[in-house]
Amino acid sequence: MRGQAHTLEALVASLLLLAGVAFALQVTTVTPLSASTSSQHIENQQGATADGVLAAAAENGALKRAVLFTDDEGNFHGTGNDGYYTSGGPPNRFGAILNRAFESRGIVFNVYVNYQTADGLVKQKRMVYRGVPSDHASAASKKVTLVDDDVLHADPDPNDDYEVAKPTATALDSESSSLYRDAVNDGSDDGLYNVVEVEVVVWRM
Amino acid sequence: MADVASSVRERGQLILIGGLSLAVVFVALALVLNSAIYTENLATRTSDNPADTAMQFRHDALVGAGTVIEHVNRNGGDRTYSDRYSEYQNAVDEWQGLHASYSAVNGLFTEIRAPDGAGNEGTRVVDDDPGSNYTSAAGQTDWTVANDAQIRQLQMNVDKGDFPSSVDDGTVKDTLDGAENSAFYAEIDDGADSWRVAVYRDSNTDEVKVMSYDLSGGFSTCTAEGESVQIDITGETLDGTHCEALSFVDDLSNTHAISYHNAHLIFGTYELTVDRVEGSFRSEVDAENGGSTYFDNPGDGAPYTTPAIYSATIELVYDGPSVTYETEVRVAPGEPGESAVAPPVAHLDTFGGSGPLSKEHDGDVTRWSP
Amino acid sequence: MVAVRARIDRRLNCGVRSRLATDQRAVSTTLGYALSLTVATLLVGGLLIASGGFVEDQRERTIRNELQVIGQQVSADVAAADRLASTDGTNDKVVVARNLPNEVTGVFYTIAVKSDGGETYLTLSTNSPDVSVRVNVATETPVAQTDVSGGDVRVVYDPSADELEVQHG
Repeated sequence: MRGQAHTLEALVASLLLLAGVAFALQVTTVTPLSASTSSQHIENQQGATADGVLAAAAENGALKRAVLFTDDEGNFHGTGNDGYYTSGGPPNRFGAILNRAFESRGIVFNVYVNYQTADGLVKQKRMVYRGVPSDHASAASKKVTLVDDDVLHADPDPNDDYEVAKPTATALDSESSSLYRDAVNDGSDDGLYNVVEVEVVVWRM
Repeated sequence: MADVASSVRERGQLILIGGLSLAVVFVALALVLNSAIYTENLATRTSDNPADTAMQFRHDALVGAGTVIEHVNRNGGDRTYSDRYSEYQNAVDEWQGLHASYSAVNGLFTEIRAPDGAGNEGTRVVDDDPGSNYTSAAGQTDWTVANDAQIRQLQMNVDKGDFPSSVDDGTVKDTLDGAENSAFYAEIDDGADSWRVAVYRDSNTDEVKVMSYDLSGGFSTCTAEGESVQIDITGETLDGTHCEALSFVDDLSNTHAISYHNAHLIFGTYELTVDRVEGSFRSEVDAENGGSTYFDNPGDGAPYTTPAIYSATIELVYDGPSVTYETEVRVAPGEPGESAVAPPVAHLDTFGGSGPLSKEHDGDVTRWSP
Repeated sequence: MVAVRARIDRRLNCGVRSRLATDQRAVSTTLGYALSLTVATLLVGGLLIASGGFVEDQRERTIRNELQVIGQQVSADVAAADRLASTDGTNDKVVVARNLPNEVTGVFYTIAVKSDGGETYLTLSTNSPDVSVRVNVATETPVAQTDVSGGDVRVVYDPSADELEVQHG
């Protein structure tokens, strides 16, 4: 009788203790780092790299030249039927910067050019499209101002190490161009053609 | 027998109480450590520097307004300054509407305003005939382009094939020294210092080169590849890439004088914008050169002058979830010596450890060390 | 059994005092129980006191850690406001706001901005337990010396006095 009482008390005490420990362990905060396979830090880092790439490209004019790197119909040079690049950056300085920043690290990127129409809708034109981004993609964007007498650009000099695209004589506002606009000669005539947003989406392969 | 039984009960209860209170202690410990985990997690989240998006907006607005000013200056023949300024204001309003739509998607309110009378009138000097050389309207080969004025956006476009002759580096050095006259050079004098920049075609490598000379023995060269070359002197770039020979532009102080020498030895186009009103600028330069320097209208010949917007002040408003920023900024695209948004990094060194860094100034270089 | 016990009793009954003197049973029971009770109480009590002290120690460490993190965040906000306020041009208004937790581990805290010599620093402190943490702040514009309680914090730039101020709200 005495022995059974002892055992019962000890059993109940140890059960209480175990229950307390189990509850305490279970109450621990679940952090975002523990819930997903792709680390939040890596996403942040990739987003910051994309920001840096866009800032560097904008600083030396490569971003604007890449936005205007199309032929008269509005398709990017060397893209064929799709109208966008599918295996890396475009063949100009902006593409060289993108490839150097991302390709060697197994990071894939999409580049979109968003522009507004006269109705206020935002349309998207693909520059580089490598597939649907994963759930852990991050994005960065930069605005580019286009004026009426900006010219389209063509392939860079093959001797040029920096792959700087060469300007052509076709102005944005010319008769046949409806690039980044809903229709030809859409919009007002005070010189500003449009403000486009270049968006780079990056994710791990 | 009675006290034996009671002692058993008391001892058993003690173990029970001990176990219960230990469990409570564990739970309290878990609560305390929980807040530690939460705080550590807070610390490792995005380094969301709240100033970043505000600075990006400021930069975008400056670039956008600058592009519009340049477009307004380039077009419209010989329009007056006030015509150009009101077109610039309309364009900025349109820019504001477009940008506000993009910002609204991200939960930001951004506004840019170009108020009346917030611009500075200037003059734009243009030679847009690619087949013409750099002589003045009267045909002088050594002439003053601008005298005692602040200039911006000094750009030249030349074709390699258009140079009348190629020279080698030694001859160009002699020319810059003043011993010979075999290459074109522009002299920029800001009252305290003088620099000479020569643009020539190298006879050895057959490429267009730019050589600068600071009149105390320092020569510096850059090379451009390709057929047609764009030299942006105030932007310090050659074909879009930075040119070390032009880095003296950083040291230019407020007003300077520019003159061309041997202007018959180079063919191409150039442009620059001066902060003087067209009338007084033309008469002063004409007096300096002793003849008519510029044509009046774009159709008359090269080079010619038109009224232009030299700079303008815009008002920016940025209202985001955590940052509010209102400022007035001066827009002068291509002005030399423009301060960078962030200081350039000269040298990067990594070291371990923690704790605050100490800062010391060394001239205009700031050093951070542990 | 009873017969044996009766015989022992009868033998011992001749010396009552000696029986009492040699009877150990009553002393050992009371002393034994008292001793075991005391030891058990001491054990459990000692365990509880030690773990209570441990929890208190952890709490203080956690509070110090949290104050460090919060201090670094406020310092970063002051640096961001300084960066915006130091841009070229006239800066009319700069406000950087952040939502900080009201309490750290259940204790209220205060943020004080102090500067001595050329250095500006933040002091975050709580009353009970008495913890104080110092975080440096690196700015170009001077920062006003204010005291703010924890919670929502704003860094405001005052263009007329050309200084930053950490405010509540």
